[in-house]
Amino acid sequence: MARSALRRLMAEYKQLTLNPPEGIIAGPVCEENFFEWEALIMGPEGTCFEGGVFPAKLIFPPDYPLSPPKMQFTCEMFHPNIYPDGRVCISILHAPGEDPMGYESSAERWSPVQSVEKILLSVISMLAEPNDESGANVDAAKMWREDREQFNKITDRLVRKSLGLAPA
Amino acid sequence: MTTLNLNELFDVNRCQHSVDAFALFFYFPIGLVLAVLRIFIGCHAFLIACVLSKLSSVRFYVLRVMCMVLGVVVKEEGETNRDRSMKVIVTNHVSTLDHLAVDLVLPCVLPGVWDLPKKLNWALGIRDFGVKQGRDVLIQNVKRYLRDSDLPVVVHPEGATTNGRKGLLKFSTWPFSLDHSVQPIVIQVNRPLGFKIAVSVIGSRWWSDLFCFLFVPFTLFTLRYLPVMTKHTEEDVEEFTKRVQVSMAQELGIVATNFTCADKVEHAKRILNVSPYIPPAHQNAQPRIPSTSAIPNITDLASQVKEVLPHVPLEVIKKDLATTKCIDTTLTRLLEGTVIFTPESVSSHPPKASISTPSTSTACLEDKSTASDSLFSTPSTAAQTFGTTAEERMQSYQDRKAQLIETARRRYKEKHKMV
Repeated sequence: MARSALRRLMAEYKQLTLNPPEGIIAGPVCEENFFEWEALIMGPEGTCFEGGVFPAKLIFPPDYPLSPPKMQFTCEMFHPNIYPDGRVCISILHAPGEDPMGYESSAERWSPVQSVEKILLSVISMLAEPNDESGANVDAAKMWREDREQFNKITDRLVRKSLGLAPA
Repeated sequence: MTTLNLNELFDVNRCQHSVDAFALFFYFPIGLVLAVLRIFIGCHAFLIACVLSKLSSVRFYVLRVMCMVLGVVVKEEGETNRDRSMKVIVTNHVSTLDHLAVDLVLPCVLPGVWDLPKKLNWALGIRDFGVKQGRDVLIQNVKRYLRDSDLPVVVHPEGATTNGRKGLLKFSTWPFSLDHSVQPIVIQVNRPLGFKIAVSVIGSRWWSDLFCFLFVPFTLFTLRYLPVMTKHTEEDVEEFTKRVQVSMAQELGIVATNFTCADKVEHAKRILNVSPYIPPAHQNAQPRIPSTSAIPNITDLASQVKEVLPHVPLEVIKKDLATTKCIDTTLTRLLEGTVIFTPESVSSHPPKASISTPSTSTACLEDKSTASDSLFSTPSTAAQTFGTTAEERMQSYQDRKAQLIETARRRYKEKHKMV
């Protein structure tokens, strides 16, 4: 099982190396362990995360692609769908069986059709359009709904921090 | 989407038909003597080329005659389309001598895109524009050169040779960002009947190609000028590149494919790895395509692919394997979407598992990202090649990472007017 997972990860790594979507870099942290990847995601233009480069790690299960990987941002994030410890809560990362929040439609779940690229693209669209019904970070969801200005201030600080620039 | 297979773009064997091989057997002693003589004449021609200035008309005639003696005959067509003021010439790539053939009728320099020794570069009329320091430096250097010099540059945007009969490889965009207009030239190479030796075969070295040029009686290069093409203001570099590729393909009556030179390298690796399967006795007579008995059982390979991509129907995998005969190539093709299929549901999931299509927001993001990977508009994070060793890949990964952060930082500063 692990062999086919390795093969698939290698194929996806190659694909992402030669033909990556805009503003995304992903690959294994170290090729000794192909099941732990690191990804850099650039905040989408026209959103409050614009310009930031956010690192995240992806942990793949041995039966990948039957089961989805886990994804966690390794930098400070403030977003309704990202837990305070950086774990990402989006439907594509959940297999159809599990549904921790009980609200997801099964249409956007993990299946072997998906790929690392699609996960990262979903994360980018999540950054652009938070889903404030999911309460991965209740404070962030509340602020997103009620005090957008304050929310933008926080994300701008995060963008600067991710680029290693001094706060404004 | 192209219907052409990658392997149709290249020749595998020098001789396509066994009749040719038979005729060549008798010609061989003559050809060998001819080649040896031409090597000496070639040295003279080379010296003359070095001594005379690139723009003098004496050089032009002397060299053309000498090259004729050497077996390189150049014919021009469509001269009315030629514009001598054009600084950038783009041609298709069919042989190792393409740029010399162009140079004979239209003196020019070839920007070196390979990492060759300096002396060899100079001898071949190639100029190093700092390709090792990255594309941006290369473009800047070439642009600076074009401002100061009278000689145009000739570029083969395909990046690798093809047999010129079926399709063009995907053009790289950088030559089209040098200037607003380019002079396209299509090159066709012909050899006289009975000497139909392929000009370049997959995996061939330059010296074996060169030997073939000297060995056969002559090789005819037909250069056909196309009207100068200018980039429209509303067009980006990518679209302009594609437009030139399509019009050159039309002129040649072949297909403009989306295969890149990286695909050719992969293809060559595969063919050269497969070849030991063929019984040696057949090697000279037949094209080097493995017979079905020689390759491992397709069903075995297909089940391995199925393990990796459980959602792809088995028949699709088998069909593709029959052409590629390689697990990794088939995987790549399936993942890239070169091969189209309807996903089937995967049994190991709970019964309600329905195979999803990506949500609309993701889909439109994807469209956007595939539409633009041009040089300037977005920070492209694509690597030129996928390294063969872990170290190479890691190094490339680290480099691209640093580059992405650097670009993002610069942009942020520009946007927020920070110094």
